[in-house]
Amino acid sequence: MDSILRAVATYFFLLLVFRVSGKRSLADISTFDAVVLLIISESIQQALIDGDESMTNAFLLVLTLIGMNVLMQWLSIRSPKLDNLLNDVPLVLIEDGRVLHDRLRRVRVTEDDILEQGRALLGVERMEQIKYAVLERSGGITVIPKRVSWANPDLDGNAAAEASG
Amino acid sequence: MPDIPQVGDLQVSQDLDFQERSWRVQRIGWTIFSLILLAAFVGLLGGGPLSAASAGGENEPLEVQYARFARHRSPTQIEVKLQPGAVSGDEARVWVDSQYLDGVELQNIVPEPDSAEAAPDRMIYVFKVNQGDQPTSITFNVMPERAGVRKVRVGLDGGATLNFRQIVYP
Repeated sequence: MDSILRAVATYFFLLLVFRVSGKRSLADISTFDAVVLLIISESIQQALIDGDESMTNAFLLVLTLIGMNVLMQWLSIRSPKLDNLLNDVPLVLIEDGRVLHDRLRRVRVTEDDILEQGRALLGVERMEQIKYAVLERSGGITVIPKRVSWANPDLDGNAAAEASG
Repeated sequence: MPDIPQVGDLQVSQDLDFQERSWRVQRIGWTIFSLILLAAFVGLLGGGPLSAASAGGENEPLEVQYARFARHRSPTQIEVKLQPGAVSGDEARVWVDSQYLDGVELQNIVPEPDSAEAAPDRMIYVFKVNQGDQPTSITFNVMPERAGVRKVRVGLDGGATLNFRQIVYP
């Protein structure tokens, strides 16, 4: 019973810390993030096993942690509010070509981050070519350039309004 | 999918109210985390300047130095200081109440006691001492096994008794 309670407490502690520290804390893992992640797992390990190095304990911990995860997913499908609490909501960072600087600052994302994502996936060259950028719930950034937007079948981004209107 | 909100051409469940609230919670969260770290730094979570405490004192025969805040399964010390004249003869009989000892793993005692006697509510340790005009100290190295507020009683058999509390964090 002890190890199950320990695992549940650890689960909620980590959930709280990562939710409070914000979306960008572990998405897009950089070298240093990976090191921090390793150290976190090392530090939490001792408290989790608490001197009980038996296989029973290890299996119980894994079952509990995975179980908590499945339970939380199951609950969050049923309750959108809980879903928001656990997994956050997406946030639009560039809206119809307009960069929302205030939001960028608050979520600790730079224009460079957005450009990087645009270059990596879609060959975006300049800020003006981006129609939408969204900080997703996972913490990753998705970019929709003007030229691939479904609303602008034309290569020229400005033609969209005429086409749909 | 009728319920998904729209931002421009984008169908995305952005929720600015929730976003604002979560930013506020994050700010509060970080304030609390900082306070916890600060508390740990000064020793309120064990092992720092504010954790070091003592009972008894200069003018009493017995003084005990201990950690006010200890942690579960983390070694801590209880140092008993016998002032000159606390012991008549060459034998010091120091006792610790067994309720406290039940909740810790006693790792060792420095110096090693000559013998130990079990009484119903206490454990009496008998040390050979050769006391001049300097205090003599006896160190109990223990590892707390139970979290919570622990009452500790330490004393000289037939002499002074000291009471103190130790908070053991899980």
